[in-house]
Amino acid sequence: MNNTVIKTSGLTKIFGTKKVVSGISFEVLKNTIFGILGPNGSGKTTTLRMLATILSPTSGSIEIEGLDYINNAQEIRQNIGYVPQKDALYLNLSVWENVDFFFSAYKYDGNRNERISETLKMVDLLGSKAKLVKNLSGGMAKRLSIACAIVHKPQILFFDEATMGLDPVAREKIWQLTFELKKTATIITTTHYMDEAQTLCDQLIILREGKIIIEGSPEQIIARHRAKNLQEVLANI
Amino acid sequence: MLKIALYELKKFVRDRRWFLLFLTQPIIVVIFLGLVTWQEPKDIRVSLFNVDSNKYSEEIVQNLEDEERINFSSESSEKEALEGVKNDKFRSAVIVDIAEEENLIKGKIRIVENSTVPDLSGRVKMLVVDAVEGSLAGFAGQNVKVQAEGNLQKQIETIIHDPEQLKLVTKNHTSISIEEDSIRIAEEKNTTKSLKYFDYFLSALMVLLMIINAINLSTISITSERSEGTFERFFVTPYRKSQMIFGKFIAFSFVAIILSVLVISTLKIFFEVSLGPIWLVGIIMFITAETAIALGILISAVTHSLQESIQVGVIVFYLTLILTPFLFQSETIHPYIKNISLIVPFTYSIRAMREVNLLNMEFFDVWPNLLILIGFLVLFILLAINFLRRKAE
Repeated sequence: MNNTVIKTSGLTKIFGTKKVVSGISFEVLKNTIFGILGPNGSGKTTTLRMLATILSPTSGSIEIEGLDYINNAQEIRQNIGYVPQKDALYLNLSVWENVDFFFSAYKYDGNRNERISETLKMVDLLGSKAKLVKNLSGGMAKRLSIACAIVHKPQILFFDEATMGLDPVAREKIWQLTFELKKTATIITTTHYMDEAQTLCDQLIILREGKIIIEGSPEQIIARHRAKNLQEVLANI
Repeated sequence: MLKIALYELKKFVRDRRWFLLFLTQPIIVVIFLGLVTWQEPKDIRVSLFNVDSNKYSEEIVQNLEDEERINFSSESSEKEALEGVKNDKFRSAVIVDIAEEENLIKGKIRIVENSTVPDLSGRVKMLVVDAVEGSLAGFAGQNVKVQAEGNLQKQIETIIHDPEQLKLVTKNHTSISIEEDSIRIAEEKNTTKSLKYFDYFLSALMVLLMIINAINLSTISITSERSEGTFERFFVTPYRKSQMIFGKFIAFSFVAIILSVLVISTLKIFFEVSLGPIWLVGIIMFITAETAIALGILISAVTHSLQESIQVGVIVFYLTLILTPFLFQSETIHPYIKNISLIVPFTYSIRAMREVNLLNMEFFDVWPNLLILIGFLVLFILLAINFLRRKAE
């Protein structure tokens, strides 16, 4: 049985004359957490945004659940969720209204209100459902951002630096939530934090100047480089 | 789509300070414009000098002195009358130089303008024409045979454009003669309404308010979402471009209705202005606002940043101000771009509004203007959907 959810081949993105992503190919397996790592400007966010249908690749191909990205973008969008780097929420709408707003874009057969309640409970925001987003803390806003991305039960989730700027407690909460979500979805995440990548990811790629320089599971990579952790691997390359 | 509209509306309403400012701004503008045009310009001072005193010239001068719409003031010399204009004592001078020679009345009336007030001279000329008309009627009553050079109506038009051409003759030597006792000169307006000073500004003001507020509302609607990141999240969902455009359009339409009601109510409550049927004025305002909203959304769809959207919105507003009959008349436009005002949608708003408010016209008279506006509206929406870039770059 083919367990591949995402398959890219020769994926390239050029902005003007600058090649930001340079012919990368990788596969992501179902119900795994896949990390895209690298220093600033390495092309990780651009790669994630191409996978999330926000950017068009200059060349190369992307297949998501067997569907060609170019011709089936709308169908693919039905099955993906995206947590952007900035929270990207409507500040003057309440927690509930934000989730409801994004949820209304999707087809859903069950009871919508029940699903929103269930999602908010999952991210521990049901008690704050009437609060306006502008009154939320950073950690709460991030959890709401995740709620907006998962409310329609997507098969694939894209997290762009989901824990950036959060305190350790808030980060821990997001990690727990990510593990919970992994049971039903495949998660592709970018991060700067090596401890996070080591804890969360089943597979990862490390990019530099738009090219994959390292790939594998965190354990394999650490062993291959005879390092103590991913941080050390990255420091030595 | 309706959900998008609903939440779009909520976002506005919940920003209470902004929303309050947005709603009170047109009320404040209407009230202040109404107050600054509250009185007829009767206190504007115009000097008057009669060069050759005779019963005909005196009658014209008397008519001007009796005029209540502008304050004509007779001076003791031509020099004084003209000096007064130079040193701003008077806004204009009227020198009546009509002589009676051997049963012939001829001469000229000079209107010396203060060039810093370009629109005043037209008003003075109009009153001079009135005075001369009144005198002609009086001369006729005295059984004086009056003849005008050319068609009398045409002459009045000539006076308006070049007062130096004015000649009144009592000899039958020109092409058209006017029979004794049959001279009837009546100023005819193409409206039965008695218009006040404010009424001339009113229609354009109503259109202007709708445009400013609608463009203000919609021009940054998409670019602000781009800068806040919600645009990106929005388009990772299966929402379509048309849903975003229509959702915003519907939400802003509700705000446009509120604005129309506010502006009309303010005008009705505070000022006795000449408005056409309220329902028709409301429809014109609403369609104008809708067209401006569609234009604003188009601007927001094609521009890349908040600053760029605002800048383009300002440019569009100024071009609208310049190219529609807000300030200037089409006759003064350079021939190469003379017809450009025809492709500015709000030209048709002003036309419709003026026709309804000032000329007693009804829906069946103004519907072509409204249809053209709706055509622009549809075009802007289609262009916005087409040019909205779903992908980030």
